[in-house]
Amino acid sequence: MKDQLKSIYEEAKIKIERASDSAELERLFIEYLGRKSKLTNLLRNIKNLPVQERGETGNLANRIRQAIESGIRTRRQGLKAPTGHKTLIDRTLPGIMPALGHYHPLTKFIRLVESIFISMGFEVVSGPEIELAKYNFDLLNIPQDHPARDLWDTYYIKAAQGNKSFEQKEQLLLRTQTSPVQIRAMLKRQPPVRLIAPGRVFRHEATDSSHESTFYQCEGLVIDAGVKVTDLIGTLSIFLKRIFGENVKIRVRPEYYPFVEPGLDFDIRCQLCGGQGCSVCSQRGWLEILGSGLVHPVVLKNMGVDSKKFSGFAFGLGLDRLMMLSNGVKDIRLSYLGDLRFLRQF
Amino acid sequence: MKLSLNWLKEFVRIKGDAAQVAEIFTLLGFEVEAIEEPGALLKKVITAKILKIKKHPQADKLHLVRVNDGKDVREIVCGANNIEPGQIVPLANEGVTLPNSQTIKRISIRGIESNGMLCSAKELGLGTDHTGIFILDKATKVGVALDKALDLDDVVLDITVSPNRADCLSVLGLAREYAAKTGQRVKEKKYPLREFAKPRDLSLAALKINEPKLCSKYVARTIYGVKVQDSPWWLKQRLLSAGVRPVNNVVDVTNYILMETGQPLHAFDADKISLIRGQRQIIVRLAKDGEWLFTLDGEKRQLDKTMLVIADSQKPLALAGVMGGRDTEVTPGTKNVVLEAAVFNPLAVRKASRRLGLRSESSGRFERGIDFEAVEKNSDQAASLIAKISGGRVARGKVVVSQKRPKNNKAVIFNTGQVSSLLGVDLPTSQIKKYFNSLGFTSAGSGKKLKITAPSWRHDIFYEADLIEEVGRLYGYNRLNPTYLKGELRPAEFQPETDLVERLKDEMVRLGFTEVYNYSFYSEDKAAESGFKTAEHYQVANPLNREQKLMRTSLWPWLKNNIIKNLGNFDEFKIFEIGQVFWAGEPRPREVPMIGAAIVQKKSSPEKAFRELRGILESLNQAFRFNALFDFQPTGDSSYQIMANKSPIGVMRILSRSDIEKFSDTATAAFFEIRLDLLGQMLKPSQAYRSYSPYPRIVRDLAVEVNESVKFSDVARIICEINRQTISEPEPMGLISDINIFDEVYRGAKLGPNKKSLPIRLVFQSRRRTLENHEVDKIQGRISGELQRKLQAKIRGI
Repeated sequence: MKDQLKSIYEEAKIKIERASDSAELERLFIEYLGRKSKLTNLLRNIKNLPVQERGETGNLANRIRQAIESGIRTRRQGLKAPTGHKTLIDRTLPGIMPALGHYHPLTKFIRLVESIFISMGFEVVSGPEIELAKYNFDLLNIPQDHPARDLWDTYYIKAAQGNKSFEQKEQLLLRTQTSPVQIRAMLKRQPPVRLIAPGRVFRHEATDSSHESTFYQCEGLVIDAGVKVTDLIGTLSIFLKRIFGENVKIRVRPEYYPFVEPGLDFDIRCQLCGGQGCSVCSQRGWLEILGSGLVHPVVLKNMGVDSKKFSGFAFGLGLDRLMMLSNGVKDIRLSYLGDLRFLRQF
Repeated sequence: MKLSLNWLKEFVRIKGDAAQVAEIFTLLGFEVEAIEEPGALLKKVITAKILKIKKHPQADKLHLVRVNDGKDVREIVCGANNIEPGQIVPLANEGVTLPNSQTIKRISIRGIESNGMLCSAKELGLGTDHTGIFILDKATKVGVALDKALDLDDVVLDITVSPNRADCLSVLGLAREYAAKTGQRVKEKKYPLREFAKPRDLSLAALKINEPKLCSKYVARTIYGVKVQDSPWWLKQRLLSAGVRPVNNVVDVTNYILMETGQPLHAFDADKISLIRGQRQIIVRLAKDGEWLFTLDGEKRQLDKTMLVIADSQKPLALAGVMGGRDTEVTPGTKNVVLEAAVFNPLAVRKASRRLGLRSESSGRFERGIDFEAVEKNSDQAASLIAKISGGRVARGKVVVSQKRPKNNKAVIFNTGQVSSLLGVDLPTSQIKKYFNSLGFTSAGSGKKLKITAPSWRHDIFYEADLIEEVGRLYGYNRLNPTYLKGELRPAEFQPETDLVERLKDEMVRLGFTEVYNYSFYSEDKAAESGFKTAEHYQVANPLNREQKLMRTSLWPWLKNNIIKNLGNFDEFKIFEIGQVFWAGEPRPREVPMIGAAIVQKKSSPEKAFRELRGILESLNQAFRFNALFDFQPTGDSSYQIMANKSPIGVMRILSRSDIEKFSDTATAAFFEIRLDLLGQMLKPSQAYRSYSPYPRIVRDLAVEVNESVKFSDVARIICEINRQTISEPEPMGLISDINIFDEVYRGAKLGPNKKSLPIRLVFQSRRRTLENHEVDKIQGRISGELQRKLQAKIRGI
């Protein structure tokens, strides 16, 4: 029986080799592997062989069966190849892109900022968009009628007239900064604290390509024993390097904010002109990126923090501007138009 | 504040170029916004002397002017009539571009070639006069650049001064800062004052301060016999560099001393103050309701009793600290002047200025606080300079009414150890003291605790932290070595609301939606589409335009706007927004987080759009394991309330044709808005995995033709009922594992009116064994029978 098997294999091998189309291969498949084929018949007869021969012969028969099968498969591919894909596919046709959704560029950027601070042990908190004047100004050491209030142009909120459920005891406004979140967060926490609060803020001013009534800020606060200016500079420099690259040139200069003392602004060397002065940096060579400082003793007191034991720093950065710088967006208003020609690029 | 470097040089030595000076100011906390060179365009214009003027032979109105430009003599054609031989005039040669952008070309006028052009003030950017040639001082050298000749070879720094540093709204204040940083002392400027006995017929000013709390010091001087005219060029030039318009030689001096020292001054025409018993009485009092004043800008101002005024016995003369009055203005006819130098209460000035919407150089400084100690000196300087320039004489004696010095500058205890613990740098006490002394602070004590007192011009030093800042900025923050945070790390609290928002964004983007950000406020028109009444909206008290009037109660109005705007560019799209809406609450509005999502489809149907959006909701249901059963209750023609487990969580709408028609003939849009606070409550802890059946499934598709009034849910209910009959102990879920619609619902002529065909796919599967076809046939037969019997359905196998 072994010889019979071998001759079937030799015969099949030659026929497969010579087959000129896939229809012939189909026929060969039936002829050699079908239910009524010689090979199948022989396999059926194995059970009649003496016990000691059965194993070896069965093994051989199966190997031959597999060899024929794979021979047909290989030949089938060989038959297709020369006439195949290359001529049937116009590889210069554009790809079919799935209809993907897109994150708003600010969402992406806020997530990036959050991830950098989270990696330094910060937590992310949030607060209301309509604030009490108390939290937005008074408790941040910006008293009513103080010239410092002029630094923030403010939208004020009132209830619809004659609607009782809207009666308001306190002055409401659209928060001009995310700093009130500092106060709110500290009413519930004890130092040590490291937090950031990204969110929507509002400024009462005419809009143009670099000014919006609505934009996003990220506030940060660190309070612990022994926090100092050099910690602030170190922490924020890391942040800026993550965003703008290791080689970014950073400059720190004094600035006034009523809720910090000393107050510091961070500038980066304009990356477009390298400091020569261009329209992006208003000929200054530097771009103002964020404001910061050591938390003012009055604000610490308003937060219920003992300034003899603890110190801290706070910072605020305009997310829109940073997002625009890193994406090359020239008009801040594009973020708020809902135009897919803009949004689908991110 | 515009700072002329030439002016600054009168107080300190300057090293380096303008950019280096600018950097010193910026790093001291006075950011330089711009560096301007007012004379840059005049460098190529030269001075020339007129030798002779002839008439142009071909034109009556033109002259031939022979000038000496320092090297040559040449002839220029000129039309002006104010020129005379001997005058020094500006000459622009061929190729020079003037500040008005005019470039000089060689031309001939009526046959005679002109070798350049003589320039007017307007052409030079030095004024508005264009009728005559700009005439220079007779002593001016010939052949020098005009910027030098006019002292315009200057650089002006545009500096931002923060509201706590009013002292630096002056040349002197900025000079002090520069001197402290560069280790110099500010040079004193001398204004020698000569006083004269008053003429017999001159009535001096007398003072009456009714509101000592609002006016802590008032100094009045009289200068008599002034001749009011244009100021000399140097004075005009200084004012122009500071951005102040020259008026006349008296007013200009008050502005000059204001810009130099920061002390606001006002000059009254003495003869227009009414006389009482031989004195010009000046009363500082609150205005009376109903009083009014014509201010210098020509406006009639209604006063009220909160406003402080300077009055005579008859009427208000000036709005204290804000602006003078027109009736007592110094004019060319003025002979005698009363000069006011005072300290007014910052808050009073600020309130009056805000109430009247009137801001001035004076009000800005009074609001922020001025140097109480320097008032007399500044008054003397101004009086001396007025006399010198206008030819008048200062009458002997000044009238001073003064309270005690206000206590703004108490000594602050300064622990020198704080420098290292707050700034992060070790500095010796001697260095720290040197910094304070250089800024005019006095320091007492030695060792670790110093007693530091700020100078009278500073109004921003109350705490130790304020002193730390002074040390920090003089040392230089960029010299500090950065360090990094260390200390106890507390795990962040889990924020379920934020977590849900972020995960929802991921899920929506995954489902093909693009995120939009819209404004939190909108117009009344948009409010009408919000589903809330206008009266249920919070109002913006001071909107800048109609789109900022009301705080949004729903995301829908802006999303609808997004849909319509995008239809111009796209046929099909999906957008979503997650944001806060504002509902009534106390003490603040309730800020409810919402998700709004819209699908816009081309050549679709409302039903398909609805199904697609419902599918999104079901995907979210699955992804977040809300385990909700949704139901949509009609609330209007094309709007539904979304019920999850029988309680409302949001709304769903189909955008009406009339809304879209203008923009697209083929689009259909559907929208939902859901409260995230309610979705959050449905979140369940992660569920255990359910094993799937390893046995093959059998799929059967049926076309179920029913009346339009029959709902899919009716069909599904019957099938579920039959499945229930297949439940047994080994098959607790029954043998039908899924019922769904696998294709478009067909409606059409073949079926006749009010009919539809539901393409229903049934999946049969056992959890225990391989099902046989004949078992499935039996169940399917039962389903067909029941559907025919109960719903009069026609069934076709597919």
